[in-house]
This record gives sequence, structure tokens and C-alpha cells, in this order.
Amino acid sequence: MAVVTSARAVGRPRRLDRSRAAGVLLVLPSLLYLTVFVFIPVIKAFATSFTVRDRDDAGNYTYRVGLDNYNQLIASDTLRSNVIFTVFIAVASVSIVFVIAYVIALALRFGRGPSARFLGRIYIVPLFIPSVIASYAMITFLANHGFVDGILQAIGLPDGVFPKIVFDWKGIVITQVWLSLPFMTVLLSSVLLEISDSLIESARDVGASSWQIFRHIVLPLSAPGALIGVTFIFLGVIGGFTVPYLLGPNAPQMLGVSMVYYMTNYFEPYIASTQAVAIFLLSLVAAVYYVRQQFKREIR
Amino acid sequence: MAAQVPALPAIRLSWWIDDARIRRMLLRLFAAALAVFIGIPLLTLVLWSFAGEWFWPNLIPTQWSLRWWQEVLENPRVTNAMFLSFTIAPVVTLLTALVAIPAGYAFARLDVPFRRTLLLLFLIPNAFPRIGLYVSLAVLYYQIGLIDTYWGIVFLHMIGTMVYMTWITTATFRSIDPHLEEAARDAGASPLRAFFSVVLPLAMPGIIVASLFSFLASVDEAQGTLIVGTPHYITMPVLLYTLISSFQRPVAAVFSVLLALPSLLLLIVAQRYLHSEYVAAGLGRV
Amino acid sequence: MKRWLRPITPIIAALFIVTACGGGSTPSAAGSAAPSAAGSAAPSAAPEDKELVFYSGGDTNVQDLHVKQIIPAFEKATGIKVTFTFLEHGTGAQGIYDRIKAQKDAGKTQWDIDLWESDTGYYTRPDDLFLQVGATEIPNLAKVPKPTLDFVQNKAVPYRGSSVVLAYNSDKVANPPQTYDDLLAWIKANPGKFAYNEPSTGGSGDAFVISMIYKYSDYQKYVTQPFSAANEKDWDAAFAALKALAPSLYSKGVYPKGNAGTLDLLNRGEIWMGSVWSDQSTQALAAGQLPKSVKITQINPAFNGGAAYIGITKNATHKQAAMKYLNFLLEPAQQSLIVTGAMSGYPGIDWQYMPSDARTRFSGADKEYRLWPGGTYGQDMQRLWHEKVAQ
Repeated sequence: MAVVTSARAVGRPRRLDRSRAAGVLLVLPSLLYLTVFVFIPVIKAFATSFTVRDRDDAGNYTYRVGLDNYNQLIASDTLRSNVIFTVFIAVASVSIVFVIAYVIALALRFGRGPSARFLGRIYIVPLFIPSVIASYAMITFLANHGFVDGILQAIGLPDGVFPKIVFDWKGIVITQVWLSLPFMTVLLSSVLLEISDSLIESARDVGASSWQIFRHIVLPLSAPGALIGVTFIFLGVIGGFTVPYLLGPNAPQMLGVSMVYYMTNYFEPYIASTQAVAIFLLSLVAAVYYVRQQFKREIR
Repeated sequence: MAAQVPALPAIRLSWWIDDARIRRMLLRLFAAALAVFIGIPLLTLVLWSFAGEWFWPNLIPTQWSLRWWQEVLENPRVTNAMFLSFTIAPVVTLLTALVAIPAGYAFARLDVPFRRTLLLLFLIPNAFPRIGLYVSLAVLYYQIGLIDTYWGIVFLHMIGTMVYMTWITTATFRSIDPHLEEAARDAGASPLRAFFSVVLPLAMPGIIVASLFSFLASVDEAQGTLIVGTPHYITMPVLLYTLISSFQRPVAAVFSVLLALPSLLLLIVAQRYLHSEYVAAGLGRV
Repeated sequence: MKRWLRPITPIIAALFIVTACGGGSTPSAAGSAAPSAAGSAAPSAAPEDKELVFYSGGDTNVQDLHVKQIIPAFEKATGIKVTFTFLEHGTGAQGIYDRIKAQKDAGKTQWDIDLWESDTGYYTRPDDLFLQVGATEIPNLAKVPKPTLDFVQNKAVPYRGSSVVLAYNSDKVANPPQTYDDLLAWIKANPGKFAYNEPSTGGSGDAFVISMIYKYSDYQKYVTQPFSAANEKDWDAAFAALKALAPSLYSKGVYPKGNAGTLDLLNRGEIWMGSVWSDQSTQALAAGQLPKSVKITQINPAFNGGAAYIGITKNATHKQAAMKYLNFLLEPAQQSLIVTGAMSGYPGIDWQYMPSDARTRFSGADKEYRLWPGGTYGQDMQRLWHEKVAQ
């Protein structure tokens, strides 16, 4: 292979330049699109977050540049608890969906029989349900005096004992798990596919138990790819609006919801922008990890 | 000499995983639980759509009725919205594909300057909260006259679909053996011909997976469309969103079923492509 | 008043323009649409207007009222063609305002929007975009109670109204509370059976909070004086009281989203009482969407309410037609449509001018209501409620 490459490089050196130009050309349309529709608004949001608006007693506004908005994000009880709440929900959702999706992926990879096949058909369904509908379905399903509460009471649970799931963090987490399940499972499945059967068999031949195989072979090999899925889902949950709005408590609110309230109801667009930037920075941590993992795998 | 107590065999906590019968039983329970978790909420929505009267604590409606279906289907806004949603989605997907597939190929095969940074940049639409983007976008649209236009909505939907298309197709193209393409070129095919007859067919599973995600993302899009599409372009999720405020549960339930049905049909059709092997190929064994 | 205009959808765009009505495929740049030849700018002694451009927004019953009832009758009576554009659920209001303002800033003498129905707060903004009118221009304004005109400095015409009222399940509640304090006592005595929606999502919830504010602060300060942030110091006591009330509310302090949220709970029997809009609840009762056991009443001092206004833009191209439309709208015949029809609103004109069958529609709910200035007070009220009361 090395010979071929160098022969080509020697024989047709101009190919590299053309490749570069072609590369730029092919990427340009999408880059242009993203610049206009994404990057510029993001930069504007950053700029707006540094605009501080003061109001005097008569309701007149003055503007200046400053870090006050960010201070408020940390100092204000409401906003701070919103930030913490957002991170908590994202971490909880991602952890739970990871475990469930992993079980399904393992069953699909190593399982035989009707149960595994059934799982293979059903896990993908939530992908095709828009998030608004899923939220609505979860409300009717899990509300107090909803479907599950009804069934439990029919078999003896006293009224009022059913925990508050809807309009509570639990409702958000459950719905996000429901919605993220297909993507995570698909990702984990494809990652597990890379682990060859022969590797597993040779482990069995030396007497390893299933648990040991999982713990020492499957899990480590799947970790990089799995964590990529985790970060992708994390991004989605952190900035989400629909699910926390419909299923979340009145307070604290996830940042995506809070941001909209500040923008449209309280007429505080500058604080709203600051919250948007906060979400972005939180996501960026995860995103950078995602990309670095991706590039590490590219070296193969 | 003390009697030798025979050492007890070490009992691993995970002994049950190896027992095939227990494993099967647990798997069956798990599958049943998952079926309930995924299926029953959707079922309750369907029940609500036919509920003439359903008060607590009845577990099923006390009266069944088709009147909500009638009310909704007779509403021209509904049919318009559905038509709009399911015609915008393919347009969005197609346009995204046209723009993102070349980019995916370039990232995979060609020497793109600042490749890694660019790929990271392509993730930003997912990292920055969309609502923030949409509001800024509305301002922009106002200035360039894209508010309340068909293409304004299409461009907005593309924000959500671009990431899927680019990353998945990049991974797809990367997983295709470059020698195949070289062989075609060495046999005399032009780069374009090599691409269309060799690379593209091999990349199809990945492209289809990416297109599926994109299509669904477009159908799902409500927030941004609400902002830039009013008052003349109301899509299904926007209508549903404003209707979820209707305290007539059955009406929102009917809408939900209507919106979910075409997607589920798509599911049945797309089942083939969602096998792990295809997706693995599509995601390039991410 | 942003009551209908703040349902579940909290997303309101920063700026919009709406493409020219009647087919809208080419987007129009702000302020460049040239009006057709008909219609003059001079306010009097001019050739008759043959057209009218009317923008509106809110809930579908508003749209239906104009599109199905008023406009056809008006066109038949006057021969003036009305081009009507409706904005879904209050989205886009700021954009229309900006569009009008852009025309003023550009120095245009004939603006492309004649009539605009939107949030009350827009008409009195210092940008001065709306025409002051009186009984000389619109004779039927003589029938309109003066306070509602004063509220907008005569810059818009109130053509319908509604207020927040108390809805209760008469099967469970034999004697509904008569005063706000009675109501608070009832809530504490019947925990879990009352709800008001989250203030940012629907006006009926706002009203409950506002009544508490008025309990601890002087009502006159809000309706007779301009905004002063100092008045908000009184609010601490009100919010503390609301927070203390929370454990007695539905689900120990869950505030449903949107006016419809409260109605939903009432409908399903989850609560026995709630604050609701007079028109929304009356419509629902008439359509069989609420059980007959639900009745409405007003307490003393009343929950707030207000009129819905339509304003004529200052340099409207078709001023004459606009005034004619508003005058037509204020005729008792059309006002009856508002009261007895699906709209279920209060009339814009005084009740004494209404035919008797209309007058009985709202017996039970006191026709009086208090006012709330909204605006900066409203934004602060919602934000502070979230910070101090929500849990």
C-alpha cells in the first residue's frame, strides 16, 4: 500500500492541489448555509449576553456593556437552580437511557429467540413519534389520575399515593429516555457489531464467564463509541424545550424553557441570551469530547 | 491436626447471567416491560381520540365517539397543515442531501483545510439551543424578506437536518474502501463517474439512514416554524402545539394520531434499513 | 390585554413581517407596499374609500367573528371591500407594530395597514402610531363607557370585553365565595380543589395573582399613575401570601399551563373551582365542553378584565372606511352578535344600549371588573411570581 501511495504521489503531484480545491468547493455550500443561519446568530447571542440593561424607577431603560448578566446567572437563586436542574436532568436522562439501550443492544447482538427479535422491532418506534406527541402521551399515561395511577388504584393503591411524575423532574427524565432510546440503541448496536464473534468465543474457550466477558471485553471495546452516543443525547436534552415545558415543574425550569420565558414573557432578552450561551457552553464541553473521540477512531 | 474444612466454591454474584434459562426469562420480562413502556402511552392517546366521555377513575372511556375525528378531519386547517408538513419534509431532506453529501464526501476523502475544526463547527447547530437560533433567525428573515415564506421554513428546517446528514455521510464515505474508487479511476472513469457508479451505491444505506433522521427531524420541527411561518404556513406540529392548549383532550389526541400515522407508516417501510448492519455501515462503525 | 394572546405557546417572535394579505407569495419589504389608487389621505371631504386593510390576531373565535359575521354584513351594507389578515394566537404582534412604525419612520403619508386589533399596550406607546378618535368621527363612541376610552387615551376603540371570573362546580360547591378573602378561606378549607394557571401562560391565572397584589397595594396607584418601580415593594407581602397558599392548591402547588389547563382540571373534576375567562368558559358551556354543573360568578372586588381594542393607524390610507367599520361594529346589532354568539364577550358599548336578550347572558357574573395596566408591571409580576412563588 505504501508503495502505491508514494508512486501516486510522485507520479501525479498536482492531484493533491486539486483535491484541496475540490474539498473546499464541496464543503462551501453547507458552510455558507451554516454561517448565515447558525454561526452569525450564535455570535449575535454572545454579543447580546454582554449587553446589560438597567431600568430606573420610572421604567426607562439604559444600556451598557458588562458581565452583570452572567453574575445574575450565578447569583440569582432562580437562575442558579435552573442551571443545576438542567445539568441534573441531562445527566440522569443520559445515564438511564444508556443502561436500557445497552441491554437492548446486548440482546440484539448476542440474543437469540423471540424476545430478542421482538426487542429488535419495538425499540425503534419512539424515533417516529414527534416529541410533542410523546410528551402528550406521557402526560395522559403518567399523570396523577392518569392511566397508570388508575390501574394501580384499581388493584388497591390508595388515592393520592401515586407519586408526582408529571410536572416533575421525573416526567422529563422518563420522556427523554423514551425519546432517546432508539438513537442510543442503534448506536450501541452498531458499536457492538464490531466486536467479532471469534473474540468472544476465544474468551469462552479459556473459561471466562459471561459477566467477565462483558466486563473485560465488551464494555471496554464499546466504550468510545458508546460515549459518543451519550454525548449526542446529552446535547439534545440540555437545550431541549418541548419536553421540559410540557412535563416539567413550574420551578425550577430547564434553561431552554427559562430562556423562552425571559425572552417573551418577562421582556428580558439579554438575560435570555445569557442563558442560551450558558446552554451552549455546557453543550460545548460534551461536544468537544464527542469530536475528539471521533477523531481518535479515525486514526484506525 | 484440625479437620480440613473443604473450601466452598467461590460464588460469583453474576452466576445468573450464565444460566441460560434465567437469562431467557429475564429477557422476556425486559421485553415485556419495554413493550409496555413504549406502547401503552401511545395506546392511551389512541383511546382518547375515540373517547366520547372518559372521566376518572374509569380505565377506558365510558362512551366511545367518532365526533372528534369528524371535527378534526373536517377542519381544513388540519388537512392543509398535514399536506404542508409532509411536503416540506422531503424538500428539506433533498436540499440538505444536495448540500451535505458533497461536504461529507469532501471531509471523508479530500484534503479539506481545517478539517477537524470544520467538523466541530458542524456540530454547533446541535450544541446551541435551537430556540435561541430561531429568534435571531426571525430578525434576519424580517430583514431579508423570508418571513412567512415557504423557503424560509425550508431553510430553517435545514438547521436541524444538516448535522445528521453531514456527520453520517462523512462516516459512511470513510468506511468505504478507497481502493474501490481508485480502481475505477485507474480503469479510466472520471472522478464523477467513479463517484456515481461505485461510491454512491455503496454509501446508499448510510445516506438512507441519514435521510430518515432528517425527514423525521423536519416533521418534528415546531418551535421555529411557529415563529417564521405564521400566519400563512402552519405545519402539523405547529397546529398540534397550539392545540395542546385545547382542554379538549380528545382533539389533541386525534391530532397526535394523525401526525404520528404517516411517520409510523414510514417506520414499516424503513424497517429494512434499520437493521444494525445497515446502520453500522451508515454510521461507519462510529 | 394579552389574555387569549398568551396561551400555551410562549414563543413570540422578535420581529415579523406578514406578506401582503390575499394570497401572499411575494414578501413585501417593510413599508414599501403602495396602496391602490382608491382611498385618500385627507381625512374629510374626499372620494369614498372602497377598500380597507384590517389586521387582527388572537383566538379563532375572533377570526370567526370578523370573517364570518361582521365583514360580510359590512361589505353588504357599504360596498367597501375588506382585506383581512389574521395572526394565529397572537404571534407576530410585535412585527406588525414594527411594520407600522417603519412606515412612520420612513415618512410615508399613506400607510398600508388601516385597522389593527392587538394588545392594548401597543396603542399608547410613545411612538404615537394611532389616531385619536371621538364621537365626531365615530358617532357610536358616545355609547362607549368613558373609562374604557380613557384607558387608551382614545387611540383605539373598545368593541368587546371580557373579564376573569370564578368558575365553580355547583354540584360540589353550594355557595360560592363572594369576596376574595372568602375565596382564600375556601381554598384553605378545601385543599387541592382550587387551581390557577401559571401566570406567564394565561391571563386567568394572572388575574388571581393580580387580585392578591391589589389586596396588599393600592389599586388606584396602578390605574391612575404612570409606571413606578417603587410600587412593586408592596408586592412582597402578596407573593408571600401566594406562596403560603400553595400547599392548599391543586396537587399541593401545581399550576397548570394556560387558561385551558384550568378548564381541563375543572372539566375532569380534579378541581372544584378555578379562575377562568368569562368568554372562554361561557363558550365552552354553550358548546357542551364543560359539564352543566359548572357555573360562573364574580367576586367582590372583581377579578380584572378589560376590553379588546381596534386602532386606526395615524396615517391610514383608508381612514373613512376604517371609521365606518368601527362605527358599524359598535352598532347594537353587531354588539349583540358578540354577546350572544360564539364570542360570548361583553359588549364594547354600555349595557344599557343592548337589547334585553343580550343583557341576560351574563347574569351571575357581575359586569364590573377591575383593570390591570399590564406592560412593565405585567412582565415584572410574571417574573417575580416565578422567583418567589413557584416551586
